[in-house]
Amino acid sequence: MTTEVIKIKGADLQTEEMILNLGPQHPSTHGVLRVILKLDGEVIIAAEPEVGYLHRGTEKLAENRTYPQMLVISDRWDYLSAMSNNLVWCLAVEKLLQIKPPEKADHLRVIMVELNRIASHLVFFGTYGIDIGAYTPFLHAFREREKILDLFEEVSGARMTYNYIRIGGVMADLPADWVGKCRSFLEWMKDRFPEYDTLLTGNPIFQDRTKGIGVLSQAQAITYGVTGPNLRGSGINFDLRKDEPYCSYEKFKFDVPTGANGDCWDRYWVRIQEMKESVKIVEQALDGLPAGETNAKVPRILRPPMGETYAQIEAPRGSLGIYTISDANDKPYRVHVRAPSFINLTMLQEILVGQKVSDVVATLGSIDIVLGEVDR
Amino acid sequence: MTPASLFSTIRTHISDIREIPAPEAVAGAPAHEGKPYRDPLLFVDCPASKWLDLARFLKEDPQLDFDFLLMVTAADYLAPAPKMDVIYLLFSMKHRHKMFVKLSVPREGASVPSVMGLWKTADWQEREVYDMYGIRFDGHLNLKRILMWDGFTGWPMRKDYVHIPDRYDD
Repeated sequence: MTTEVIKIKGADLQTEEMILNLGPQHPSTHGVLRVILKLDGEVIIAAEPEVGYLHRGTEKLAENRTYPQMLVISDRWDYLSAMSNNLVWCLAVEKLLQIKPPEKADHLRVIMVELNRIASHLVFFGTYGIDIGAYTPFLHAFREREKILDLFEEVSGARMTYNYIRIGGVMADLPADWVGKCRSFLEWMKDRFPEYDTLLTGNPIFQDRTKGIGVLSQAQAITYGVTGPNLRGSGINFDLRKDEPYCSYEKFKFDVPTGANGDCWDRYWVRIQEMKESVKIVEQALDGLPAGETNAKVPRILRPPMGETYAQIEAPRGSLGIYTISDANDKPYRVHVRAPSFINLTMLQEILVGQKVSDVVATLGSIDIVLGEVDR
Repeated sequence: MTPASLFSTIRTHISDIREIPAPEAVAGAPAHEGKPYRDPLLFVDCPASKWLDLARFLKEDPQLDFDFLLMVTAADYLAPAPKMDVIYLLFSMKHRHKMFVKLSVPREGASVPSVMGLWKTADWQEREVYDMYGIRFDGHLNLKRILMWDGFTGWPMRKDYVHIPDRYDD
């Protein structure tokens, strides 16, 4: 009898779609990102990311700065891997100037960029745990990252915005006994990976929250221009370090881990494996560290000839590219940054559709964006 | 494929395109300026009216197979002739070749067809070009500002953009 009454009472209940704002101030957005979600119950039927809260107009700033001055600003795009940003800017300008850095500089660049990749993936590992509800991995990840930042502080004097890789080479040679410290860090780091597996990777709750969630198919990944671990998570073996080597990457032996299903789990797993590969690369680069100069001969005032170039590298978040046009002046005529975070984020509007609200944060975290790079 | 063979393949299907020659040193330029440099890739100039045909051909022809749109951007020129270029960098995952396509458009009231239907990554990148340069993309489903706020006036990346002082200056 009671059920009948409830049924009759419920018949005139109105159901309607609901708009939910995620962000701009929300810890899981890792910066200031707003995602407007349209919900039917707890299922997402449309999602629209809103970006631009951190826009600083670095492309416009570049047009009013000399080439070396722009290097300082490049640190601020992806502030978790500033070495990569320095490197891609230097590669672009070196192409225009047609100079080649010495072999030792190439090795030092590889060492720094790969250490930075580990640091950047550690931030992902830690914050992704928090996103899903595990706080402890974060403390472990930041303990390790601290050691890398200490190493960087010794070579460059800074902990976030290094400005270490310079046009034509690097800022300075390594300090005495730095190689030893780096080696002991790598040895120590290798023992941490099994720890991470017991902490998070092998955790059944974590696996339940990530497997089969936020699936990005191969076709979707390509049409959205997705690069980096997100693309490899979908099972496409594409890594600029292998496919278009720069800075003598062809000399080092390493594997390119790829996922199978393109879900959050695969994107996570690829990053964890990449850290292990980076350790291998740094070891090889330290072993084969050549003697000699760390800088090519670069004129004091840089005035590249007319021309245009596109330089790209495999940054921790994907293929980071710089497109510059030079008009034979000491300032670039046009600079465009192909920011991997910005382009990877585009896919969010499609892969969120059909998911539950509780999986939004898991999906967003697995794309691993840095808002400083999205908005530039 | 080499740039030359890419160009000849495309040329047989779309005849309106033109290869952009590499820049040459200005006669009488001082020696310290050096030789101009441009990436050894194919640079093609295409009229905006033919861009959609060309884009579809580039994507769908099995020999070319440009399935990956790496970058969309633009550049503004005031001299010698005022114009704007919309610049596309295409890449093929299968054949691993790249090429640039440039569309020259007038500085005022310019519009080019959107390629959002072919490469979804064009969605945000075209919005960014619109936001920064004011070039409209016909057929784009959500053409509005992306990095600047909605009430912003002017096109900040244009060479003749003048900043109007506001309460943040001082």
